[in-house]
Amino acid sequence: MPVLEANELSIRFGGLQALLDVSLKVEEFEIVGLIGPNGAGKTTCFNCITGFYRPQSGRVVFEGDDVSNLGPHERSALGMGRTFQQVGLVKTTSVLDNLLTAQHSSIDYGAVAGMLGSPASLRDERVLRERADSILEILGLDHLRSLPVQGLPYGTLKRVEIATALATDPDVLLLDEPSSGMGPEEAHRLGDELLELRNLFDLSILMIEHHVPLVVRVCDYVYVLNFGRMLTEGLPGDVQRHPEVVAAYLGEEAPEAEREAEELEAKLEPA
Amino acid sequence: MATTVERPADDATVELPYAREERFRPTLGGWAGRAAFVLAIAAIVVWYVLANKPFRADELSAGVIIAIGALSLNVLVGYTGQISLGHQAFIGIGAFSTAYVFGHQHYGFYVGLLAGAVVGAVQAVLLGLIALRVRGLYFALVTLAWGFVAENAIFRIVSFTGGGAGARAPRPSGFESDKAYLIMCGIVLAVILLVDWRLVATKAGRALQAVRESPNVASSFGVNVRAYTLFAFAVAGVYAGLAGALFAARRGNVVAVDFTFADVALPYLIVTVVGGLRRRGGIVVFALLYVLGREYLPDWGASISFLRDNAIYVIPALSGLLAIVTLIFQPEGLGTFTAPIGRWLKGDRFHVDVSGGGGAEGVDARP
Repeated sequence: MPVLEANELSIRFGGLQALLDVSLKVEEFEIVGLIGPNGAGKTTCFNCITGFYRPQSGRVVFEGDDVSNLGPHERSALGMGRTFQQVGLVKTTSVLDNLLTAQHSSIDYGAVAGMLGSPASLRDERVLRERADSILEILGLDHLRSLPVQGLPYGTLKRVEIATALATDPDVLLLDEPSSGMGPEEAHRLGDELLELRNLFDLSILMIEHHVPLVVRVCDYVYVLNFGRMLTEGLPGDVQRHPEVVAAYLGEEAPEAEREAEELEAKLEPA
Repeated sequence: MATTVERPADDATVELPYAREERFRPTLGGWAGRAAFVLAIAAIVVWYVLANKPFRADELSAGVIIAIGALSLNVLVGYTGQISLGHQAFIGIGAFSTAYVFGHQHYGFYVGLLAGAVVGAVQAVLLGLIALRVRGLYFALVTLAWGFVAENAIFRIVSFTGGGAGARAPRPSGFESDKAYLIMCGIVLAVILLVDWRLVATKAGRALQAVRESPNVASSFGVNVRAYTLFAFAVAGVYAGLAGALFAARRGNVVAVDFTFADVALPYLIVTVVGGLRRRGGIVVFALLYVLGREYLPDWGASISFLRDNAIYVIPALSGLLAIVTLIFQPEGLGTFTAPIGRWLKGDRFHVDVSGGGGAEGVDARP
C-alpha cells in the first residue's frame, strides 16, 4: 500500500488549468522526485497534496485514508511534513524556537493547561527541547540553536527548514526544492543527508528538485510534470534520457522543438 | 546508481562562519545579585503596602487597571498582529457585566469579576470571527465601529447599564480602602502576568507567533490557524473583562461616559505601544508611569500657566507624541529597557540593545 497517493488532481485558477488529472504515488520508504520546468505546477501539486489548495477534482489518500477534506494543519498532524519554496520558517525567532513550534501536534497538554502552568506542560516543554536538540544535532545545526533565523544564509535556512519539518514528526516529507540556494558541494552533501534521514526517521520523501544530479542520485522514482500534466514517470536514469523530458525540462532541445524554434526565428527575422 | 559522485573527504568539517557561542551561566555571586534585586523590589512593594501614608493608591490602582487593559491589547496587537481600536467596548462590557451581576443578580464582587471575564471573552470571540475574514486595516475599522456601537448603543441600554445614572459595583469586603483595593488589583495583575508568561512560553504562544508571521507556515506545523486566532481573542477578552470589572469596582459606579474612544481605547493603545509590543514588563511600567504622569504633570506644570490651563489637552498630545516617537525610533518601546532586566534575571548576561529593536520584530510593530 502506498503511503501517499494523489489521484487525478485537477485545479484551475481562472483561465489557467494549473493541474489536470495528476496522479502520483509514494511507496513506503521511497524517495520520489517531482521534476518539471518552471510553471509546470509542481508547487501547486504540493499545495493540493498538503491541503493548502483544494483541488476541483481528485483525491489525496494518506496511509490508506482519504484526507481530501482535511485542512493543512490536520494533514500535518497526521504525518505529512512539508517545506516551502520560499523557506517556511518563523523568521523573528531562533532556530530552536522554530523546532519547538513545529512540534505543535505532538504536544499533549492543551493550550489552556500550558497557560496555567500545569506540571505536565512544564515537563513536556523539557522533552520538546531535548527532541529539538537531537534533531539539530543530527543535521549538524546545533551551533545555530539560539541564533535568530533572520540573517542565516539561504542554503542554511533550507536545512533548518528540513529540521523543522522533521520536528513535526512526519511519515512523509514533502520537500520543495531543498537544494535551492546551495552550491553543488552542499547539494551533494544534502543528498547523503536525505538518504541518512530516511533511515533514521523511517521516512518516505516526495521532493521537487531542479538539481538533476541530486535527483538521479537519491530518487527511487521520478515523476515529470509539464504544463500541469504528468509528462512521464519512471526510474531516474530512464526519465533523464526520455526525449520529451529532455525537450521540456533539461534545456537541450529535441529535434522537433529545435525545428520549431528555427521556424519561429525565421518568422521574426524581418521585423 | 550510475552517477554516484565521490564525496570529498573533509567537506563535512567545513565551519560555517558563526561563532560557536558558549552558553553563559552566572556565577554564584551573580545569582546572589539577581536574588538581591528581586528582594529589593519585593521590599519596596511590602514597605509601600505597610506604610501608613496612602501614596496615591487610587491612582496607582487606575494604573494597574490600565496595565491589564493594555496587556489585553498586547495579546491582540502584539501576539496576533490585529489592531484593535475599539477597546472601550472590551473594557466597558466587562465593567457593565460586573455591575449587572451585582445590581440584578445580587452576587458579590468575585462573581462579578468572573462574569466580566466570561462576557468579555464572548464578545471578543464574536469579534474574532470577523477577524478570520478581514485582516489589517479593514479589521481595525471593524473594531473602531464595534467600539462606537458599544459606546453609543450598548452602553445606553438602560436595563443593562442603568443609563446616565450608571450602575453600582461595590468593592469586595475587606478591600474597600484605596490601598486594599490596590492590593486586589495587584493580585489580579500578578495572576495575569503569570498566565501571560506561560502563554508565551508554551504551545499557544509559539502557535500564535507562527500564525502572526505566516498562517501557511503555522498550518504546516500543525497549528489550527482559525482556532488559535479565536483563542487569542478569548484570552484578550478575559484580560479586558477583568480590567473592566476592576475598573467598575474602583469607581463604585459605572457610567457609559467613562468608556469613550478618547478615554479608553486610545490611551490603552498608546500604553501598549510605548510600553512595547510583546514586552509585558514595559507595558506594566509604562501604565504606572502614564497614570502618575497624568496626575502629577498638572502639579509640576502649575508654575507654567499654559500647562496649568491646558492640562486636559497637553496630556493626550504628549502621550500621542510619545507613541509616534516610540514607533519611529524604538519600536520595542520601554521594553527595550525592561526586557534585558527580565533576561538578566533568568540568568543571561545584562545587555541592552538600543539599535532600534532588531529588525522585523520591531518593524512589524508598525501598523
